[in-house]
Amino acid sequence: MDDEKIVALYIQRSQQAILETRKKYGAYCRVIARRILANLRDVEECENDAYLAAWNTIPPQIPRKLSIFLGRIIRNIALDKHSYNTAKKRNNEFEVILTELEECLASSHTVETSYEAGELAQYISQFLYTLDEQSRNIFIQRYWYSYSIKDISLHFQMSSSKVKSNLFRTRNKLRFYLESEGLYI
Amino acid sequence: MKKEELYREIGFIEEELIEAANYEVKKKSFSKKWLAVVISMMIVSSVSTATIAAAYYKHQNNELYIRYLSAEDMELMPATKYDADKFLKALDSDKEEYIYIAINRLVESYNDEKLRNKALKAIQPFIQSDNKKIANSAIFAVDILSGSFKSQQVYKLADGSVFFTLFNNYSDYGSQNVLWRIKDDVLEAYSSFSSPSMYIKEIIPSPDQKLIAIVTNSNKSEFVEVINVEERMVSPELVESSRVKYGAEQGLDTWIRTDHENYSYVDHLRWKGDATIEFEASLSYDDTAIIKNVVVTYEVSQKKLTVKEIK
Repeated sequence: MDDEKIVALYIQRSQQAILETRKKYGAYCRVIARRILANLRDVEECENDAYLAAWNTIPPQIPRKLSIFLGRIIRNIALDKHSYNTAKKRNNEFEVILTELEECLASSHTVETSYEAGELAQYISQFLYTLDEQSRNIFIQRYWYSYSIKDISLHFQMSSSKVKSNLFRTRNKLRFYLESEGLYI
Repeated sequence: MKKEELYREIGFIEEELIEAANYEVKKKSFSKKWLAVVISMMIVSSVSTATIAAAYYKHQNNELYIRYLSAEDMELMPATKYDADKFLKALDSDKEEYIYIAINRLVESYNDEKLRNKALKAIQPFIQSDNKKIANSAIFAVDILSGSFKSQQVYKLADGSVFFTLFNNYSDYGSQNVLWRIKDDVLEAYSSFSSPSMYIKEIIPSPDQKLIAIVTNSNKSEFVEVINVEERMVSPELVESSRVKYGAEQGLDTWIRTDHENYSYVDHLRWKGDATIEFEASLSYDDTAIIKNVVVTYEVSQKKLTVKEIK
């Protein structure tokens, strides 16, 4: 079923909307949550919570791209679940991704500024447009889709070390970019 | 900022960027000669994949994971399954109480045609019982199990479903606090009420038979809820809501007891149209030191509750 028709079902408050969403995007949502969480039951729970969140937010929100809308929801729910889980239950691979992102943060000696949700994302988007296409997509695959280094290297036909060094350079560039914009996160 | 917050923030980057970075595995066409090779490889690999999957799930199951703690979990006991034979045997008991319980419980065999016919045959003689309670329960059970649904205690709704309670008026206060439904020839416990709603006192369908008002009670309090049967939605409990709303308006103490008894009562409940319910209530405040007699009106579609004192 077309995304537009699925969204129309949500607007009509038809429970068929959730069935159609599951049918079309169930696997997609599970894959995103699976890369963040180690436990399959947690993944299943996040998937169900994501449908409920979609049900509660559409309307008034009307997603432009349903896949990305759902991806964002499940990403946030899975992240909450990850933070809630004890260290023993956490997905080590995802912990590595978070640790990598730490390099973009200001040092503990710097006074942080607080930002509204989504405010910083606008700057990150602007920064990503300054990159070449490959570096941009590698960054997004790693930090939005949470792909493993191996998956990214297979996709771009690059060695793992080359992907790692590319990400390293991009993270540094991001930190400098944000600082040059007066943003200390 | 924490690393998790930065990860979350990256989630809000522009949609075009996210979409452009997504890659899908592109399907490649196969030549027929390779197809046979792949199929045979799949058969071999499926055996090993199944072994790996079994090992994976075994590992998953080793992990201590409790999603909900049910009463059965806490008692380390398996849930008791419905056992129609036990109730059929109980019909031969010398104890009238056992017979009465068994007749009511045998209605639950409705979904199994064989058991249903067996129960129907076994219950029928009790219609002639000298004990009025047993005779009435047998008449009711036969009415349900035979699918005739002619009893006044069966409520027929617009969607073709029927609602009823079991153990009808077993107490002076009312019937068992479980609402049963038969829809598309399937019986289910539609809704059950917890303490202090120990009994179902009244079931009143709306004129268009789409909503039902349920009055439940304990020996100290009464409660009213409206159920939208088709949508499986229930209104807020109207007596306590009225008590708190009216109390707040009048500057009275509106704290709620931890046992949720409201010491308030309902009278003359009636539908005014298809989606408005009205009843008189005696609302209690300050440990029954203050009693306010009011008329409560609830407009279901507007979700509007009005409480007016009876002068």
